[in-house]
Amino acid sequence: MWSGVALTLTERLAGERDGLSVLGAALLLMALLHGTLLLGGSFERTYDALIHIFFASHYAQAWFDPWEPRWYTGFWMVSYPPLAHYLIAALGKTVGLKLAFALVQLFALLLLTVGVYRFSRLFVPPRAAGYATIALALSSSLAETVHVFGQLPTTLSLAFLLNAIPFAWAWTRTGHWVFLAQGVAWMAATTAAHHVTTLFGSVFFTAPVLLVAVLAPLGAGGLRGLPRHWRATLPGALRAGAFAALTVVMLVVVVLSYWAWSRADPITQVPIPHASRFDFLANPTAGLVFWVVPWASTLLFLPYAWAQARTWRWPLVASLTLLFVLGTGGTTPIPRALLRGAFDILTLDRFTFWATMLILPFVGLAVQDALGGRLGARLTAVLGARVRHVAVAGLVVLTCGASMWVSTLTRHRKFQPPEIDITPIVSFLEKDQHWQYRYLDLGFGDQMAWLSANTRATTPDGNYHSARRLPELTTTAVERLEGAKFSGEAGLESLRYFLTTPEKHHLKFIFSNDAFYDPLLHFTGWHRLGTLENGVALWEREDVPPLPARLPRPELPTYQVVMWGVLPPAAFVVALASLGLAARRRTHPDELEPRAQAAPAPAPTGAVMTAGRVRVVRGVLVGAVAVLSVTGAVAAWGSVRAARAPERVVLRYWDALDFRRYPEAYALVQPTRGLTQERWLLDLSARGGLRASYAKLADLRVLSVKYDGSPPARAFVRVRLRWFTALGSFTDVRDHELRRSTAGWRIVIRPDVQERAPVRFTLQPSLSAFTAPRRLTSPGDDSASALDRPRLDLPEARLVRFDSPSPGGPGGRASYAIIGTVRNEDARPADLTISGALRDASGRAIARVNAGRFAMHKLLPGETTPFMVLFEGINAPPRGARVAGASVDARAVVTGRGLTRNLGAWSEPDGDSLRVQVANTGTREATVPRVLLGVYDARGLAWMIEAFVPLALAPGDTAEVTLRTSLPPGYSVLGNAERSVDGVLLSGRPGGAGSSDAGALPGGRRFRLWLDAFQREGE
Amino acid sequence: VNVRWRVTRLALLSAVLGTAFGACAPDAPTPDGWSGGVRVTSRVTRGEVHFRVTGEGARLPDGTAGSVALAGPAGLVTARAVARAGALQLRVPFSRAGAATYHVTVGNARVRGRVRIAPGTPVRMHAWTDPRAVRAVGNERVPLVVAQAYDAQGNVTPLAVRVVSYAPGARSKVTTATVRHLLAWIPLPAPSRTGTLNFSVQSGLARLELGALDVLPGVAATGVLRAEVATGWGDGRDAWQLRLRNVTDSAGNRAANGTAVTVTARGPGALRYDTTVPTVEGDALVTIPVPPGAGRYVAEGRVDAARLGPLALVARSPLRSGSLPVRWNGATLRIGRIVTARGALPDTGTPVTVQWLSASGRVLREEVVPLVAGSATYDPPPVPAGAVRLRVRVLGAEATLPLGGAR
Repeated sequence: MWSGVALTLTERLAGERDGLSVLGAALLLMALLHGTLLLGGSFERTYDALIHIFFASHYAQAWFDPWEPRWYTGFWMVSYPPLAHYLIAALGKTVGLKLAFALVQLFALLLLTVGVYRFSRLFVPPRAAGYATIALALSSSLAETVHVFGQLPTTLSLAFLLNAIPFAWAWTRTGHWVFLAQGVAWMAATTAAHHVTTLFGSVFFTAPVLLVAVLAPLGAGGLRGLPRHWRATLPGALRAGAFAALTVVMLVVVVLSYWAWSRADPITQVPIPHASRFDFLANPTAGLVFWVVPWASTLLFLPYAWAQARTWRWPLVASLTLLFVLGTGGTTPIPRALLRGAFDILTLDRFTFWATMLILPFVGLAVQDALGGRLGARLTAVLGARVRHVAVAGLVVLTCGASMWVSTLTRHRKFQPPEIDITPIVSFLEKDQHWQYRYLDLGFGDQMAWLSANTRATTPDGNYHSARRLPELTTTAVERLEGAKFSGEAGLESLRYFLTTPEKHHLKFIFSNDAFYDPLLHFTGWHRLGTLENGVALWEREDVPPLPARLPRPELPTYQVVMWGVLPPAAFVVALASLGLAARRRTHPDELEPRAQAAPAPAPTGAVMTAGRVRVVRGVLVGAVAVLSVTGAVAAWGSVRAARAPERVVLRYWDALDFRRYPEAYALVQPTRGLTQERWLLDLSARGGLRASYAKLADLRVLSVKYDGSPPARAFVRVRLRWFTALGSFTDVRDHELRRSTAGWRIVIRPDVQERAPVRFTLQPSLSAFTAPRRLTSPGDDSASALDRPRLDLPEARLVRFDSPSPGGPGGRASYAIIGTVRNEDARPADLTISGALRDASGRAIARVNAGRFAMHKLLPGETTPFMVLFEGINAPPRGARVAGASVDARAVVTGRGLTRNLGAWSEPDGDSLRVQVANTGTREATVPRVLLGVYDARGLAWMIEAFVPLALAPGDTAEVTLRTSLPPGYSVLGNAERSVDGVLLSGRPGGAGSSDAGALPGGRRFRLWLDAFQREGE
Repeated sequence: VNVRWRVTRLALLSAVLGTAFGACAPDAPTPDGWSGGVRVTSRVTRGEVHFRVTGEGARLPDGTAGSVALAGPAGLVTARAVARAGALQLRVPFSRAGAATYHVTVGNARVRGRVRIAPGTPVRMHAWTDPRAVRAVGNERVPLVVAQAYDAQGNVTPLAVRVVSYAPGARSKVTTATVRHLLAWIPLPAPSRTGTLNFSVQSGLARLELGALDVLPGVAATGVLRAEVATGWGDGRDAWQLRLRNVTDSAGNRAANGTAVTVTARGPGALRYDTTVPTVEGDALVTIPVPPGAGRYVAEGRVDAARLGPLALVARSPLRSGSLPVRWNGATLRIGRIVTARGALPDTGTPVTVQWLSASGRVLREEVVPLVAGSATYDPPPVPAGAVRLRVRVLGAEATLPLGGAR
């Protein structure tokens, strides 16, 4: 297959110049395509770039400080290799961190281009190596890694690795010490950039190369000659072994602090699901992102690469195949079997990325072969010269298109929220010493890292999961509190814990860029201070102490601190400096693999395939195209037909509504007189509330479909909608009538006619309050002295046990709750915090949490609220712990917020339910009205049930909700909880305070209602 | 030239090093071996303690070295000096008030003693009230001013603190309190009227801005609940209006703004209404939508411990008895035209509930259609399995009819 003609030195040098000229073109292409996008700020919309900038901001402020206090209440910077961050920090001093990131990434890409050329030259001729670099510049995988994922250490370390490997090759082949020194220096830089690349790169990149170099003396016989000529491989093997040993030394020494940290502080984080580990067949979206897109530009060359397994390049093909398999995530069981425990920690997209890099030499070879080699001749024979040219041109166009599409993917498909101007947030945190409290951002996406990079304020959240140590975070699979809703109910449970017990982490401020969380914030006791200039809502929680003046921080041994600050940047400098050595001892082409110098065999002058074989190949090709076309057409027809069924129309309608694709949804509505699109949209927007404005459609199921007429002219579809909100999930059953029209089944929707009284002008008195601006006058001041605590009455509270429903099916886990009432005895409104603790027999607290949603946190003078402190889910006592008692504490500060009361409710028992008609008698919309039902037994308040009205109530509006009044399964009273005497008036009254006014329920029980509402407009 | 430059450089270097070593060299040897006793006198001035050490029976030889170490809460402060004119003068900077021990060493003689440093004149003050607001009635918490005065060095001074208070509607009162345990606790006069109690605090040269304490009303004890609109039609338009007036504490002060008033209305069966409203200047307006069910209702209010009411309320049926026209028109159910008891059409959008009932009366399916101009039409879906009749409800009236044209 390959030309066996030995090339002269002149021919080789000419070929080298040929390859270098293509490399130059590739460098230019790389700078133009990726450099332009990077300098244009494409990385700001990626997943990881801002995280690396945050890390760099740390080093920019404190180069030798390995402790970063701004995330997770503090974490070690030594948990991530620092070279990329050091480079950004150093460069950022002059050009700013964002531009520095772009420049470092561009440097990494250019270095990677050179590295791919040098690496490819070990296996393919110069021109093919040049084509490989062009393929790199147009690689959809690289575009995705840089412009969608925003990974920098991956590209930088791979660039170092690919440049290190030729030195290792040369050392193995020649034994010159200079090559060894250069190779080790570049491997050290690889480690400094990303140790995982060194670790796995040694297996997938270095090992096959060195294997080829070691086996080279065996000649054409390959492995078959090993038993007889093994002595010839010994020198190379020993040199390769020496290089490997020194690589390991560098791997340990350069990031020694990392290894010490990982040994002393192993990661306890439960696995966080990552789409690269999913089954791509079961989850096509994950497959698209982590398999189709990266392979888009090179998948076609995979058969050609595998065909090379029969040549001396087989080690590289084997490595490529292994990476290919590992990159398939959970689609096959092989990656899990190979990686074992690491499977749930690693993100497997890196294997696909490496595979798409490892295939580049074969891509270059295939292109050269197709342009002037035997492959080209065969294509011509089968397709004809014209079709072949069109096919090649089409391939180039498709590759360029794919690359550009992927490079700009974040622009036309939003993965992140729109850019947030963080200046107002930073200003707020800096003034009045607000940075002395922790903050949380919601709905920021990865821009949370950019905010952190620009403030000294700290947050319990973060964006680097390996470093977190808070048990509240490590025990859940929630990626970030900031985007808790994307982790479903588990994510919200974690977020609720932080919102309910903010004082534990000094969490006082929340910057919300996602209204989804607003109702949850309101009902857990937070209040909105206003909206900043950038549109971000600012929320605050009262009665949270500031951070102590000195935060606890662990220390590293001094030598580790110095090594961390010196060795990684030194490795980078030494690697670049070692190129000076190369100038004295230049690699001679003869020292490269002679077999790689030969160009693909030129096309023979005669026919490359017999006529019969050409016919067979053509037949197979035509047959394949025909089968694919027919299959596709049948599938498309089936899909279109299914999409026209009534139930599919309803599903499409709700799906379009959920994603705000209004024109698409309206197209499925039966044209009705008086229902224009404008009117339909107005009806949709007229009544907001929990379902319309704060809910996401989580599940949609067709319960029944009935037809009317023959042939059917009408269809009736009953669907069950499950809405996911920050306050929990609720279901909604809807009946839709559909009529058959020429366009297919269409949903009958009538203009929404709402009951409205004639316009009247209503005035009502209201309350407003002024509180002095929040200001800590000096760092030494005790903030508690600035707070005045209203007097509270805390009657007896009971500890109960019940079975909370198990998400997995029947049966439930034993849970606990403290239930009681608190009354504001003061003459001023109170912002209430109720804390409960479960204790074991020795009095030790085994679980501690605050009352969250099951309480009204803002109390008028003389007002009473029921409360329920729930110990379930992540708040539950540890398994095996025996609950022997409980204690409860209530405290409050004076507040001027939440003084509006504009709801009333008619209620009437109906069996074991209570039908409640909630009315808004005020002058402002009650966006999310809530009903708290207190169920009393003979001893007092026994249980609490809440219900939210799904629609907003305008003034004068009413809405009905139904609450079940039964106690939970397994309910039993364990006794009274101890009450704190700190600032609380303890009355001897039983916990059933107010039960004399309560309404009657069947079975001798009684009930009371409490009403409050979240108001979108704030107060 | 090179040689000369080297010599010059060496000479300069030698000079610099010699000067440096000379500066670092220990003091010239002093006459030591003082074996006699010493006498120590101390004097405290602003920020310093002065020690004078003389020999017992003999002058200290000039040049005799000595030191004093002063131990205080902040640690040990040491000063050294040599005798001049027969005595050793030592000055130790020290500003913490209180007793401090010292240790003087001169040759072989060692003397221990104690010096008391008194705070200076108060120049700065910190004071706060606890609580910041009290009720005029009930006196559940005595308002206190807690003060702490400091001298220029930050020592708490024992000088008495003088408070002049200006209670609302009362003459000023002067109270003086001594400092105990570093704090002066000054109870303010119990006010009997609501308003702002101002006070000034002074000790020595230290003064503060005028302090303020809110005097708020006591627990609400009385109030009047009246029905301004006690009769209404249950057509969704009307509401009973209850007015709560003159909510005051036992001393006649208007209840604190925002005081919660809970109003409950009870009607036929177990129907009840609950709402909470805040008072504004002792008044509150309670609006209760009149329910569709006709009958007599009773409303009661509660504010703190005071019970208000009961009041009688009347709800009238919005529709005349038997005036719910519902009929089948082919496969369509027509409701209306409905006219209310007041001779008007119901509000457009008034919900009409259509229920499919089984033989046992169980609701199999329920749908709501709105009234438009007093009428509504309903195109029923295929009849649910087991359904035997329809029930139509609107504005508290209901009609039951067979399935009729429904398929």
